[in-house]
Amino acid sequence: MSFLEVKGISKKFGDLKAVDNISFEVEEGEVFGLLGPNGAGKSTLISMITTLLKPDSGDVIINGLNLGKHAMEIKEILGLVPQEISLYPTLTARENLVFWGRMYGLKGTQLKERVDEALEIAGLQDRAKDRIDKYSGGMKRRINIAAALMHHPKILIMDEPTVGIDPQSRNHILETVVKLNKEGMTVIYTSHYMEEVEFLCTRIAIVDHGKVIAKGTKEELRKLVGNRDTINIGVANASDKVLSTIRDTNGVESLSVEDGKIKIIARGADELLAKVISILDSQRCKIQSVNVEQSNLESVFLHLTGRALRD
Amino acid sequence: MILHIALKDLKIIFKDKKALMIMLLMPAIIMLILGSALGSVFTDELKINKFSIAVVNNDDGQMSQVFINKVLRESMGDMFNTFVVEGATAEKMLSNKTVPSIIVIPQNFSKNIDSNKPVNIEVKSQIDQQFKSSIVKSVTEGFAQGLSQSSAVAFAALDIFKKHNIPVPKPPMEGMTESMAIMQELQKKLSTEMIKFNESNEERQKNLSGIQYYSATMLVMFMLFGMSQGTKVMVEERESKTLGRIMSTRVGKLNLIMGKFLGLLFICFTQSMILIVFTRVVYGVNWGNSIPGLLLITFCAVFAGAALGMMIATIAKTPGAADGIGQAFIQVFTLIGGGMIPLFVMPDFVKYMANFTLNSWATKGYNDLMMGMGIDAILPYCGILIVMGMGYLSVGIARFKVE
Repeated sequence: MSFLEVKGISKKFGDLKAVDNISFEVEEGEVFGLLGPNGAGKSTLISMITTLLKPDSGDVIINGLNLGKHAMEIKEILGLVPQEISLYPTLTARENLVFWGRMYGLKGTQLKERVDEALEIAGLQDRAKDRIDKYSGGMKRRINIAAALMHHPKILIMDEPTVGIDPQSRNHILETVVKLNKEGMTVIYTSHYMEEVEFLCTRIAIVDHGKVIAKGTKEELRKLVGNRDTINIGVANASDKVLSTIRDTNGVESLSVEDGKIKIIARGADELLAKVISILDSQRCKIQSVNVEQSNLESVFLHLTGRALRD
Repeated sequence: MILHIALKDLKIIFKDKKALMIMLLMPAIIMLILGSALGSVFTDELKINKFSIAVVNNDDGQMSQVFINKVLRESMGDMFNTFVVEGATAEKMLSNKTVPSIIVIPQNFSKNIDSNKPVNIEVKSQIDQQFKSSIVKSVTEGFAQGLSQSSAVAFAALDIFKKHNIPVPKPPMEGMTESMAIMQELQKKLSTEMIKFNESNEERQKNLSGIQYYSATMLVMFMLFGMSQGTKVMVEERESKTLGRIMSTRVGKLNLIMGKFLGLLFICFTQSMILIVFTRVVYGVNWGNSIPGLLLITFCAVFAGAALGMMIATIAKTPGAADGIGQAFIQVFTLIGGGMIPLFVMPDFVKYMANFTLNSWATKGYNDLMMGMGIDAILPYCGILIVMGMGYLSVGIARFKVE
């Protein structure tokens, strides 16, 4: 039996199906990724797994316990890192951790030890007495994670834990997840950053419009794209007409524009690249950079949905 | 866990300098300004002037006449205009607020006294005329107690006189029994007691000063500001998913609601107590002599205020909306509850609407205490505040959501 089983779970808000019959399993000790763009339904899914929202239908079983019947027992082994900085900005880091520790039923010496341990994990022992609103975004994120570790959960559910932070803090968080996982913690890592999911997760479910559109190991997902490459071309002034011409070129499977770069999924990138450059050149488009990547989760998503992850 | 949630909320508010300014500094200044500027309004208006009472006399004996003529019309004549009317008329006078109280003397009142049987005089009062009606009640109770005592003494004395063959004083009037004659002697003492009571009430009728009145109304208004700050924090917590995060721990929904409500109670009660002590020490405001009464009315006002906060928190979707709705409640409640302009200069419609505000009831409670009344006098107001609070809280609990 898997450590966590999500069986046909659904949630509607009015007419909007936020989560539509999603099922997946997470094995004990693995880092499972939920990858999808903003608004895909990941946070709603997390809210249901963490007992905050009641599903319209479906079941969640964690550690052999049904969520509907054993919510309190499940809460004791579950740590949640919300997407928002769910801390009290006018309290210090230590005061926040003490509060969250108490919410998990800790007290006395054990509480003090766990607070020190959490501060160490966050790498913020020296700033323990500073108010949270004096922290940088990255530091807040680290305390946000530390608060979820106070009760030594068996499973840690992280909802977009690196949104809006500096590379240094991001690296610290990713290293923390790896370390916790090595110590035996099961992790569900939700993100729309393909690189993070690719780096951390052993298995991944790709979520879009409330549904799991693909799931498996990284290798299994890459196979969905087949022998396809991603061509990234930085262009200063590509018009819609130019993009349309490229899109109609033989070999182009999908095309999107992101941050001023044209992203093309294609079979036989070498041959196609010459054609695309020729089109851009003929239209007097200024090419700033060219890069060819082998298939990755981004290209998997693009292949499955026709959209980039950050669209 | 409930207590930790509440204490955390208290800590957050008292770390917020802006909130503290609104909750403590502003009321202290406004109380002083309003109290000084509008103090003259209270010089005469709040004095308890002579008022009318209705008496329904179902007794055909002499004792009821003694009570009406000697006690009510003579001894208490400076305070009451006493009208003896039929039962239905008296009820009508009470319901249309012509009189604050009616006194009902039961049948065989005099006969029962003469037979040394227990007697009771009923006093019916308007709920919003506590001070006046308590005077009527005290006078009536004083008479009834005095009568019972003198009756008991008269019968005991009569027994002793007869046992020892001591001549019993002859009744001065025809039809008067021997025991009544002894009691009549005792009435002199009773009248003295009544006069004493009257003087003591005159002392209590000292004018309520402007600073006293506005200390009470501003206390309630700024207690609601404290509530509003707490409500805003609660909505911010919901927006930042902090409430949701609490729900993901071992805290259940009911514990979370109780923790948040207790937090609001702590905030508002602490703020109120600080303001009461501050105004007493710095402005010399007399909040009355009943500390239990002061604590009780403050608790009940805070209970209703905190419950209102819980309701607003469930209506507002954003902290800005919570602020706006809170301000709207505070301003409307304060205005029609007599917080800015005393209710006695307001039109009847506003006076009627004031009954739906917690400000009005809490202020009445504080004013009664300030005028020297005890905890008994404010119990009806406390009851109304608790009922209001339960209503708000029910809506708050029913609509409470963490996301």
